[in-house]
Amino acid sequence: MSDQACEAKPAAQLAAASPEPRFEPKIVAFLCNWCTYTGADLAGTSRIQYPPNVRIIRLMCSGSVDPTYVLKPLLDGADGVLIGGCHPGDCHYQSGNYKARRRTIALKEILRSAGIDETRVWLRWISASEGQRFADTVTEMTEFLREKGPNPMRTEWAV
Amino acid sequence: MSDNGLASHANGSPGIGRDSAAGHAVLVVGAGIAGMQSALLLAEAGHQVYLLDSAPGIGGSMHLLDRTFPTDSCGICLMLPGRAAYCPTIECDLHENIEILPYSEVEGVSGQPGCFTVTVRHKPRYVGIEACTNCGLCAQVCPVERPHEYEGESAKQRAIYQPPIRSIPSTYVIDMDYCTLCGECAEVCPVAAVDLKMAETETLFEVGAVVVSPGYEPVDAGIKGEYGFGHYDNVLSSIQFERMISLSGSTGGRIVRPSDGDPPRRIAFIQCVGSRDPSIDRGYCSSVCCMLTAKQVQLAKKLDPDLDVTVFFMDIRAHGKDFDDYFDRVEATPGVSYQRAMVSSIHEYKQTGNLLLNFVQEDGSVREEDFQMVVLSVGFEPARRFRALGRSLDIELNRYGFGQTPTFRPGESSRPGIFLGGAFREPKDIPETVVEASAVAAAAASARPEPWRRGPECPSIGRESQTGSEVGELPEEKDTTPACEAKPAYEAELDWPRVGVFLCDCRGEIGSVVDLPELSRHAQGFRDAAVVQIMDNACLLSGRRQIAERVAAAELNRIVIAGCPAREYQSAFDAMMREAGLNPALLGRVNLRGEIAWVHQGNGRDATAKAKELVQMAVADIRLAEPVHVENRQISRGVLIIGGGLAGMTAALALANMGHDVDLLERSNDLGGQLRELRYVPTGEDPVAFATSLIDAVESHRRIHVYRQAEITDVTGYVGDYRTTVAQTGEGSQVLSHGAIIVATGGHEVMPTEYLYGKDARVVTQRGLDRMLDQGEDIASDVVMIQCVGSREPERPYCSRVCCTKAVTNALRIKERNPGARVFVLYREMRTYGFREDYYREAREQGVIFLRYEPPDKPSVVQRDGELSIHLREPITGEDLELRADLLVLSTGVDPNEVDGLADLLGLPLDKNGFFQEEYPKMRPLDFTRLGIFMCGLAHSPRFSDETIMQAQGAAMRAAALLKQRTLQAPVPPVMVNERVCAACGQCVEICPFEARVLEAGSPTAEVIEVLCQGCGACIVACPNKATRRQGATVPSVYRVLDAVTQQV
Ligand code: FES
Repeated sequence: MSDQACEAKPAAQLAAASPEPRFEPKIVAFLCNWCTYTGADLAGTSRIQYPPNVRIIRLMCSGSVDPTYVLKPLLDGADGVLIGGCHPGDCHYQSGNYKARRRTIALKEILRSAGIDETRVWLRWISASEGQRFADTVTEMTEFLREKGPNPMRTEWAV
Repeated sequence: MSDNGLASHANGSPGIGRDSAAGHAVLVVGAGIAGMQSALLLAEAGHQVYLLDSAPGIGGSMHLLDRTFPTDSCGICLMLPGRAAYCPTIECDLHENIEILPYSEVEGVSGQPGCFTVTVRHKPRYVGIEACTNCGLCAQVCPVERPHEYEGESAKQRAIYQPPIRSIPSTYVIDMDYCTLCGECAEVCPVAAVDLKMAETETLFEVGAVVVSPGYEPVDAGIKGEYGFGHYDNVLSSIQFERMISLSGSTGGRIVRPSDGDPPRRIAFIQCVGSRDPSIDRGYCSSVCCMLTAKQVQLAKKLDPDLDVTVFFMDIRAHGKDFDDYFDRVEATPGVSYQRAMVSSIHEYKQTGNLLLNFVQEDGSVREEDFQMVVLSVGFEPARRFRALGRSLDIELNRYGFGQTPTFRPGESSRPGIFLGGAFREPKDIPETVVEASAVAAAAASARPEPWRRGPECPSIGRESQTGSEVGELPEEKDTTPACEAKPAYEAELDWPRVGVFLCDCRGEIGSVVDLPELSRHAQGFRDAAVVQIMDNACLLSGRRQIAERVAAAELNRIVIAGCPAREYQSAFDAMMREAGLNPALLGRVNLRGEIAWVHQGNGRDATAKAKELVQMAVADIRLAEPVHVENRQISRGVLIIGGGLAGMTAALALANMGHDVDLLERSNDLGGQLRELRYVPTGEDPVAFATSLIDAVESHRRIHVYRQAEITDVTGYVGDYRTTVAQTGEGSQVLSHGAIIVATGGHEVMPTEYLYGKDARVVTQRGLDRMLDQGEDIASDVVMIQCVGSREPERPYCSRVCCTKAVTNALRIKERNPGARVFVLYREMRTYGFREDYYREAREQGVIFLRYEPPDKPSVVQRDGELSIHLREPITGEDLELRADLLVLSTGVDPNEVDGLADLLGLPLDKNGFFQEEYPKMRPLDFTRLGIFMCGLAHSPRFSDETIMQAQGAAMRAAALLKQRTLQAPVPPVMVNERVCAACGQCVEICPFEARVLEAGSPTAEVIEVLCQGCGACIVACPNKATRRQGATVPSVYRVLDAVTQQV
């Protein structure tokens, strides 16, 4: 985000800006269409507030999250990746979330062996009625990543 | 529903059933699970539906439930016909054939089936639906409180309140019972939506049939004064507890005592509060509470594993499919104990808020125990207002206030053309509710005026009758659907992308948080954004026109609308795209409202920054999008029904009456199956006459072809185009083709091997007793019945559901014939659910003696000196009892017919007991994963004949709604294969859960059967060459979207 673009903010909204710039992690979230995205939308309809650090990409099912979708943003400097799917047994395509679970476990293994911090990848089951849980998850993950600091890939690639 | 639907009746214009060729309009009263299911099926089948509810929004008790037994998951969204979809509430809102009438009551119904006129009163909500933005300022200033509708008595909300967030509409409403007309809300409302003078309106609707499924209500837990509900803080109703353990409930899933907010260590559940209790005029069993408690115990233990739970109960009624399994698991959980005892009173310790329970155990001894919290498992009853509803509909209610229906026409009320569905007929669980809702939809779809009353007052139907079609049948329709959406000659999308970006303010909802002018300036910087425009309301017709005009003027070939979520107004925007000459797949949506404006309030700078990225991501995605031309497949309208028993015949007749050709296969030489054995029903109807007339109707229907002595030898194809090879003894075989298949292969009474059956003529089964009673044989004076013979045993672990009632009603018949007879029933648990409880009570009153036994000490039977002697160990006292019997009746269970081979041919799963395994027990109890195949009757699970009829009609309706479409289209853009890179490795075939991916032997590429593809994308990930991709989406598009995110880090 170019900084000049943000300069032209209305005065009324200034209050929200914190005086000390803290590290704002960037989270890419792949959410399944049926449960977790609907849950995220419910957070909206219920006006549940959560940090603006998440960028949602809606996919049909957590089973269609390609491991490269997770790898790419991590290599490109995103600070965390969240995969959200239906609770076990609730996947609209029967077993997509189980596939996601297997892949995530394997992927974390690979990340670890490649020296990439695998705790930056979260897999969570959030149902369509769990707006609060979605908001809590984003809040929790934002805090967690803020604590952890920026993804080293940002700077490493920038060299 | 269209976006102007809510407005149209508000000004009092009468709604007339449009499109009479597609069948008459139907009014559905009650928009809970049952009503929505009926409405959706009728709408899918082409009927105009008015979906009325007295509540401010539709959804019913669905808003209360987010976890259901036996799967402990939500999944209500799975109930929709034929596809994975969103929540039915949303679907009803969006379906173009459904008009929602929230906050309305039926005032009266005149006319006759086929042409009723219904007067509907719309209650004023005092808040304009169109204007209100749900900002909630009004509730903040409202000075009066009312009890909270969903969180139970203890929670409060204001007199101006928002209905549950998932109901539609969820616009604020004022409860005038509490409002003091102070006017604060009107003053503070920023959009002047509050109108305290709003008046009620009335509308007339012309409909062909009425479906009534208003559901039921929990009994007020305070009805049992001795339990102190409402006086003791820590005595909760099961409804309150449900909300407490719900993740979306008031405590967010924490179990705490209302008195002090501490987590309790010991909880007691008390069953049957307001059920099986004639003293408060609720003599029936509410059927669902046993399982509801089991579920609550299970979830509570998950939330707090150290919790100590005691359940006080009379009988455990786990009569549904797989319920015993579930219950056994719960009962075996450490820290959970089930106590067969009656709680007589509860006292509160003032200082601690703890509760002292007094209870009477089975052996008559009285005990006391302390608990920290008590949950009263309340029964269910029809709401009091249903009496008025019954009057305005002019239908009969039973003594408890439930709708009255006959056994063999279980969906029909006492008034022709008005049908009763769901729990309004009898308390029942969700799967049964879903089934019955489908069944009454079928009945409503084929409602016709009685032929002799067709007259000029029924013009449209009168005309139809002259087209030559038979009475009771739908007119033939013309098929107008094109086989394939024609590709336009000019494909705009082949040009360089020219994206129009429309930023919607959503009536100030978005602009108040996101700096839209700034966002617009930013978007203008995108290379491919040809137009960037801020709009007030993109969703309104005027907004959509404006966008379409810009497409033409600026030669746009792709659109991004940033505003509301993609599921909203989807069909409206699709239509807009088509009008503008663009393929709907070239429209991208950004949910600025739900993902930003509503969740990052007061954080304008970050919100705007995020909005910029989201819009950029959407542009990156849409610029690579391609048009989708989904293939339409012609489907066969015919249906194959396997099994000519009660289920199969009922389904056949229902389908034939809806205008479908049916091939009915029967393995034996005669139709009827188990129905032929049925001689008696306790409600007094004549099963024999019913069977004869049903068989007759099936055999004489010109749309039904019966194949006797028929076996299936092969099945190929898929939904819409099944090919079945049928071999008939002595007739050779032939290949039949159908759009859908219904499995109704039935079951039979188990023949016992124990208790001297077959060795002593005085030992018979219940069916044998039926025969004796039927033929007027003398019944001996000492009769012993043994329940659960061969049921709920290791070799047959399920409950056969019907045997308890069978035993009780036969005992009553014996008593009627020979009042001096002594009848003993040895049972494990009496499962006379619903109104069947009345027979159980009557039997006890008539002197039938019920003795309980527990499995390790099963009764034993010996012949001694030529006499039958039955030994039994009393489970409480441990005493040995000996009974002499002149007649020993064994209540044996129900076995499914042998179908292993057939299940294989059809590719359908059987459960461990040999019944067919449905796709999803809760919401899709009639379906299989293999699309276009449904099931009903004993092939599914043991059930009563009225339940079988309902299930069969339900399956018929599911098939009819599916075949109504004439052509089938993939439910979402299916995947496609790039033949140049496909290596035919078969990984996609392996991973596809829907058998939509095939690899013919020798074929160089894998293929997609589009109508089966549900679009999950599993094969896209699995494909090692990335030869598979979603139609409309190019492979790199997700990567480019990710670029748009990370280029900003
Ligand atoms: S649809 Fe939600 S995980 Fe598969």
